[in-house]
Amino acid sequence: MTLLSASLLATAATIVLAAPVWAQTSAPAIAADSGSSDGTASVETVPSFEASWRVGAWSGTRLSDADALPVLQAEVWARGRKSINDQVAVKLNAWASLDPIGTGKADIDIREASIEARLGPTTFVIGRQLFVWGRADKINPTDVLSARDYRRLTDDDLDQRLGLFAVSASTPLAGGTMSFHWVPEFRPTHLPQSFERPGLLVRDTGASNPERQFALRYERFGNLIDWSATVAQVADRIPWLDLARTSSGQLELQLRHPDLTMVGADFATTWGKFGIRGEAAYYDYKAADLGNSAARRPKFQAVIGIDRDFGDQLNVIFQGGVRLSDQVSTATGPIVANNTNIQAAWQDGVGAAFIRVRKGLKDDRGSVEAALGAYERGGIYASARLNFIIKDGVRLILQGEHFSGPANSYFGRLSNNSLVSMTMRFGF
Amino acid sequence: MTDRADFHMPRRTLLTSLAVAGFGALAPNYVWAQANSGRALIQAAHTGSRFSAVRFGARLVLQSSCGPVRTRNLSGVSKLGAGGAENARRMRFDSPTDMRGVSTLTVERSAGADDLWIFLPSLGRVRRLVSSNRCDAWVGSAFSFGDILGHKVDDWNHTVEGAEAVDGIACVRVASSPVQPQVARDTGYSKRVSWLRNSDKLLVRSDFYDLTGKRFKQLNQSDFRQVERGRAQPFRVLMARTDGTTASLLQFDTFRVDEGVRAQDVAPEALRL
Repeated sequence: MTLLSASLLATAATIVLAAPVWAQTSAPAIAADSGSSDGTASVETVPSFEASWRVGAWSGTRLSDADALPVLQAEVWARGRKSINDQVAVKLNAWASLDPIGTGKADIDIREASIEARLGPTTFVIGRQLFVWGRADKINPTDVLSARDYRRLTDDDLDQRLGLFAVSASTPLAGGTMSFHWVPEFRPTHLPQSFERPGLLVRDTGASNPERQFALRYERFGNLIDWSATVAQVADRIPWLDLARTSSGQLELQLRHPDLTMVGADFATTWGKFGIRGEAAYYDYKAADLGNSAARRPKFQAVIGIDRDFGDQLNVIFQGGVRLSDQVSTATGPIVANNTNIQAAWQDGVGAAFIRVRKGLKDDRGSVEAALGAYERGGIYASARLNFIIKDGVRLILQGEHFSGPANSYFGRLSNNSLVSMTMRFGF
Repeated sequence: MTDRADFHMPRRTLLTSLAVAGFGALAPNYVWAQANSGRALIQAAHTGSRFSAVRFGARLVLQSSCGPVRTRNLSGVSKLGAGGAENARRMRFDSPTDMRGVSTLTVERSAGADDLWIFLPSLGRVRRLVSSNRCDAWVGSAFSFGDILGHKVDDWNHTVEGAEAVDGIACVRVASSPVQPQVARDTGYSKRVSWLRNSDKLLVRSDFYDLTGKRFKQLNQSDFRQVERGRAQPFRVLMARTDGTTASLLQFDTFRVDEGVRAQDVAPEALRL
């Protein structure tokens, strides 16, 4: 951890300890409510920063470990946004966990720590930020800027995202918003598996030129349709495996991150009772950057989804897509096969499908949902989740995930990550 | 026995006279009826409830027979556009902590479906939703999405049923039925009966009938306060099911007509703030 990170964390801890907690003020029964107000604000004061405690039990890990033992976990999350004046605000989002990935080691992470400043119509944001792009569900071809830790034992996909230091500027343009992001920090995506093997060194090589990473995005919300278009040049967050020898002759598995240029777009609209969302991206990898262990590279991915509310808080989403790739070399071997799997590039066109059914519980008490996803010849992913609000600010989440398929397939190789979990949240 | 012709002429004349006299007597009532037709009254209530730009803070208290009382604090802004025909309203939940930051934006369209966006902190992005499921409960309350969005005047046929006082307030009662079956299916209501104050046509009470024709929900508005010259706003809005299972109170703490609400304050981008 760098000194900057430690300082930010210490500041965050101080704020968390000093901030009002999540205790809910007692609510008057409607019958007893006098129904009168003198017009002064009697709403609960919104704290600038707040904390959330989470405890959980997991039947295993997300490290593809067949021998994984159950994991008990405790975490504290902090978040907040405070306006300094009309133009400037600070934002913080961080967590500390006793065992975030089930290896018995505690860790902390600052996901967001930024200053936002408005100068006229333009907004500048400097600091660690979360980038959540793409209007499709679950599969987001344009979401190349964000890094994730898929090993994280969390009950919410968003919680796996890693913040990145960036300097961003956004300004209104032609009814939409144009934004530019310079992202000099590189953080890799951690795949849901461990590459540790006896006698094998594992080294993440990082990005060769992180200061060259940027993205340009135009987004527009309209009467009938919302859409965005993005160009990004980044080091691929997803690692490409390569084998090398160290200077001392030891075998080393390198996790490399070749440069990637992405051009993509997304949209969302409604049609009667249906919501329609789509997203597509073109990828450009330089073959020479992929190393000796890549036979195929992704070129294009598109998804389109439709969702419908059936009344009584029942929602169904169906999404289908295709991922195109091409061959860059005739290399073979287990490392090559791994890269092909990780990139979902085992054939020129790989179809994908995803369906999710969600039912809201009565009186806004939570929801229950089930999802199924599959890649053509890539195996199947299934999940079920119960989100139950015991009382305001106290939530129980039960979930199960199952991966299946041929051992070498995209989901099949993650079969040891099938697990069930129970988590409690006190706060947000 | 009078001559038949003689009898008819006086009768025709009498009838004509009566007709003329009757029409003359009815004319002011006819004018009143036109001006105060069901649709005109409901339109007046609809118009009277809309302000050019508003900032508000409110509490939503939820009471259910199967759980403790829960309170949501929310704040928001609204702004009329398109010559007053379209209303954009952004609402943000400030509490409880696990709802903090959840924001919605509804833009009522004069033609076509309304626009609805939601921002969930857990999702991290603004999401467009289908707005047609007006019969679904709004955040677990007794209000439906349609109740919150507002019922479009011309989706209903409105009939004046007569005068009736509510809590000592002189009102006119208006019954509204869906113009098309689709409206009933979308809203979940086969009929609405509204009591409007004689003084300013603001809604005091409304009964809602389900698709079987049974009355199942009642809205009561009270604590009317002047918020603008000559215009009042109910600060207390209570929706309760007639079977006593659920009641929800929307209590405004602040309601400020504010011309300073900008277009970008009710734009989807503002949901992320």
